[in-house]
Amino acid sequence: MMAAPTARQDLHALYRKSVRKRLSSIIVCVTLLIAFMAADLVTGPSPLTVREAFDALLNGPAGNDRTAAAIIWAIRLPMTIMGALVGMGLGIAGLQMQTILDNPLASPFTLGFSAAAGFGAALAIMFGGALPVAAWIIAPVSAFAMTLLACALVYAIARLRGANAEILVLAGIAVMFMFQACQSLLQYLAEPEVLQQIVFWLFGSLLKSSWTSVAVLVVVLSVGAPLLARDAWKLTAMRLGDAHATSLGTDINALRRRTFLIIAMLTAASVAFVGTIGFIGLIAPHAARAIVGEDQRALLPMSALTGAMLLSAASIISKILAQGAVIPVGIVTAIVGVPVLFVLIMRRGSGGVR
Amino acid sequence: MSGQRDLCLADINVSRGACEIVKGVSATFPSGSISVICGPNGAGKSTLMAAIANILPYSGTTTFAGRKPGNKELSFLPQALGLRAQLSVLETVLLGRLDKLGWSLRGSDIDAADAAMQSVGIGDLASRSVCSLSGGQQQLVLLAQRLIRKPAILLLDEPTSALDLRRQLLVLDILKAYAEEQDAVVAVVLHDLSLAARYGTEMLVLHEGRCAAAGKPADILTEDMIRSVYGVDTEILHTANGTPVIAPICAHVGKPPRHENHRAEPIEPVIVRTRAERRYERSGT
Repeated sequence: MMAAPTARQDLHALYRKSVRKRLSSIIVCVTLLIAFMAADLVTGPSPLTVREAFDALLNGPAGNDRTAAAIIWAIRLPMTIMGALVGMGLGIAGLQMQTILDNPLASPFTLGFSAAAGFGAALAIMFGGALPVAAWIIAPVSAFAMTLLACALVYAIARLRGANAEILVLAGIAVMFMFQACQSLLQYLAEPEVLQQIVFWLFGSLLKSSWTSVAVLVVVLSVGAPLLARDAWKLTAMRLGDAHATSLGTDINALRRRTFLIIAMLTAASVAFVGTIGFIGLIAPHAARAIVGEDQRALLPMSALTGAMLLSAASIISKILAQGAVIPVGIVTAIVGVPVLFVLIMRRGSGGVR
Repeated sequence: MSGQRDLCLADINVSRGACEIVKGVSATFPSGSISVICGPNGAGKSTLMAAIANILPYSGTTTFAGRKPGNKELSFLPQALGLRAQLSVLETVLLGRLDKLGWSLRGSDIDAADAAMQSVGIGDLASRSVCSLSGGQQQLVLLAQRLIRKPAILLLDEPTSALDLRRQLLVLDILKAYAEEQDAVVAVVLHDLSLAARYGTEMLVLHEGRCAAAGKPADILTEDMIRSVYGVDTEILHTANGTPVIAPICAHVGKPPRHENHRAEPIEPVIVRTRAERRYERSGT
């Protein structure tokens, strides 16, 4: 009994130490993200020097150098911020998809969301011209609507047959094939120029960013993330398996359903404006897990950060690779992501957790 | 015997899909001591437990303190499966207080986790990752996780299945002490009949979804009962204080004879002696 008090003190100290360690990881990642975003801002096809770019940023949208102000404030800054926000959205959505499906291979697109968004965009590109609305609004709205429709279909099946992981995955695969077929049909029927536009949308590019898209994503993230954060402990408990989570007093069906709805919103908002950007949602949660473990209080913000960092890095590379042009970032994400994945696999092989 | 805080089951039926697994089981698990549920594989032990824990739907009634026990007073530890989460032992144990945890932890949360971990003897594992632990250690972590909730009814499905002999006894001692201190109902599924006899005050034996025997272990553990339920011939020995010890002799091949329908032919017990015993016998004569 003499040893008990010292052991008790140890546990408090141990916990404080782990909190400090996580906080410092998060601070390091925030700093890195800011550095990446700054680097992203000063790279681009137009020949602005670093100095000029930062001057234009500091002088505001009404700065004296009109060209530089326009490039920075109307083109690059929305792209940079959108890159970080989409990365966050996909990172968080990927993490929770992996959590609720209990599957390390799940990503925001596992349940057919990207196919649905692609179909929505293709539909708008082909037939949107007939509507009296600007094309840049109709494609995102249509992609967003189709993603929510896909979500509603999966949700309805989960509601009827129970929201366990297998049912969700099976329903998602069915929905994915359905939308993929519809999308292929549209592509087959499309005129060559329209087909080119559809294919370009599917690549996923931050060039489509605007302040409107930034605002929409800010709203969706600031609603979705706190809702997920409220369930942080329950989502952590879900990692013990359904039986344990249930017997600890979690209604896992309800938790799965509401988490799924938030993922759908985050994914829909992320892909509607910039097109499908794969790999981030798969890899960011794994990277975050390797850094902070699976306590969602740290893992949730960390997944957002790793997602944002990866997409910012991919955005920088997409601008450096081809002189004077911007390669769609959706193509580059895998090139950036694969080395990260290899590092994670290697670390796992050596048996180390954290 | 308070009686008030006993857990009473009346005519419990549980189905999984079209298959009726538990058929009309009634039993009473008294508070302040361990009750054990035994029976061969597939007898419905885990299903019955999951039903009492409100995880599977069932018909019939469970009563505790005059009403149906809620999730607040119930805590169920399902059969251990490998944990794959990259959580520390401390985090995993803390999850036992899921309903009380806030975004930032309070000192009392950590104190409670500490006490629970000390009580099952895993205080030194606090910072280890649960997925790196052995099956037995994971079982102890999960036990600490359930104890931290201080439930009035603790249901455990084979909590000793992955443990070595010493830890089996330690865990059952912890459960016995917990039942006595908290005046809690502790119901445990066990396969080892001798351990069941040693620790259980009440015993429920299930066979093909029905209650094959219920009562004090010393009364119901008979060679006939074990032969008809398990299809195994045994010899029941007794320790100095009268606790039955079940010594298996041989298993019947094929379907075991139905309960009480007919008695199996008395068979010649096969006596197996170790080399040491033979040497002892030779030196004695």
